[in-house]
Amino acid sequence: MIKTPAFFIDMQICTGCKTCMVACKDKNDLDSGLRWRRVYEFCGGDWVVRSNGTFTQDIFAYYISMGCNHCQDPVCVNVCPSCAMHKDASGIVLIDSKKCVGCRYCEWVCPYSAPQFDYTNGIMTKCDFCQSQIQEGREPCCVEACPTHALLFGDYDELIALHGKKGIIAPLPSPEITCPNLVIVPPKQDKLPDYNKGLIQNPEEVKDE
Amino acid sequence: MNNLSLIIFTILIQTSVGIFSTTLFNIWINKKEMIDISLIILSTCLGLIILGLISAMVHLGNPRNAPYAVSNITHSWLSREIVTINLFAVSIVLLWIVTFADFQKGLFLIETVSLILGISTIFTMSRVYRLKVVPVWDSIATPMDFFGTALLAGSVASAVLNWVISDKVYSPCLTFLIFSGFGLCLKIASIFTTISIQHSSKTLFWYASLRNKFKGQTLAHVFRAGVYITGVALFAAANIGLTDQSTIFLLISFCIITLTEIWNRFCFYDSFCRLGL
Repeated sequence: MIKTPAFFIDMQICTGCKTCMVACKDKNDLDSGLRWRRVYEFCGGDWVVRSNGTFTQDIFAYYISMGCNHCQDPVCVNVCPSCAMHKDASGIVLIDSKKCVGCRYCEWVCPYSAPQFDYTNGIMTKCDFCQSQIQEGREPCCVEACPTHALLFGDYDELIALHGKKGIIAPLPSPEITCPNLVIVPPKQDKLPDYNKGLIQNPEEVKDE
Repeated sequence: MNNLSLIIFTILIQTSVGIFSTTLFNIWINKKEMIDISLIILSTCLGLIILGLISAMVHLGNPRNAPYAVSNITHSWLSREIVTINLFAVSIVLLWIVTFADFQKGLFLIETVSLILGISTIFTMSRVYRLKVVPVWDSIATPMDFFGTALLAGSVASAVLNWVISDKVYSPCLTFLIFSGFGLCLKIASIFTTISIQHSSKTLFWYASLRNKFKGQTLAHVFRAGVYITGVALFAAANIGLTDQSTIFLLISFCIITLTEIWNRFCFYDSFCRLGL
């Protein structure tokens, strides 16, 4: 059994095919509007004037596949008034649907947009790390579906030992906020978190609003 | 986000606390009889709380689980908010019973406890929005805004209630004017603090698109501050006693301040922008 389950994303080989997103929706039979895993297209850049007066460009684009990171210090668990959002013994952040009041407070506070409101049942829903599959010794469905193995699953400490703790990139929040169980290999054209010229190019694909 | 129910909830609860607090201070300052808190005023406070709580229930996706909402009182400010609002409501009910029974003993104690619970309610309400991942809300502007609403809307509503109670003849009250002045100062400070945060590099960290959104909001913020000042100026005209049209000025200022409060709260929720994805 994995001690601290974590996701690993190699952004250098992620092609942005969104198979992980589709696999998650399919496996969990999610309603329209519910996306427990989303693939963000983050792009930016502009023309740059070189010292000799000629122009070049610094455009960039990369994909970020993001679900719940089952954080070590989950802010959603801390703020949930009904204790519906909780961490189980294996460190997975889960929602007890029998307790959820549907106040959507966790939706406000999660910097990864992991908790998603189910309008049909009036409660919050989120990635459960495909708990049933993990118990069978399999991997979460998004990981199984990834054609390039850009998305992997394993023990957080082992993944860190293997890949190192890389700096965080835009537009991800500072990991100090929630200590996510997420290990990433940044893309070659990565931008620092304070980079403010990039835009998410596919908002209609990743957000309801 | 559809926040209409939260807008109604926060304004009603804060106004209720404001009506109670300003009326109580008016009685204490002017050394009136303790029993002078009218049943009409207490009933109004209670009515506003009940309407506010109903509005809050409408916001919930699954109200049947509402009793669980106080489970996380040790960590969640939302649980604490629910507890303090309900305790405040209970204290108002107690005060209503004591007033109705014309029972003087222990009245001062209940009034003081109710006042403390009212202040705690506004404090916990503001803490609910102090989220590290929402920089515009996570500032002193939020409690200033909420306490400002309580003082400003509360004092003007108290004045209107006093006018209703006193057979349609409004007698100017300096205490209400002073509290509305405090409320206005908090509101103006809150508005300009919000503007400065919206334009700080901390907030505009990641998203270039926020620049345009916040630029558009700045003008609305400044205009709103002007409308608040106009409302309080009319309220001052009604309370200084310079005019014999006090009642008209009072009612106009009440309408202006109530509508501006609703607009202000819309802007508050519209300023939501979370760090991260």
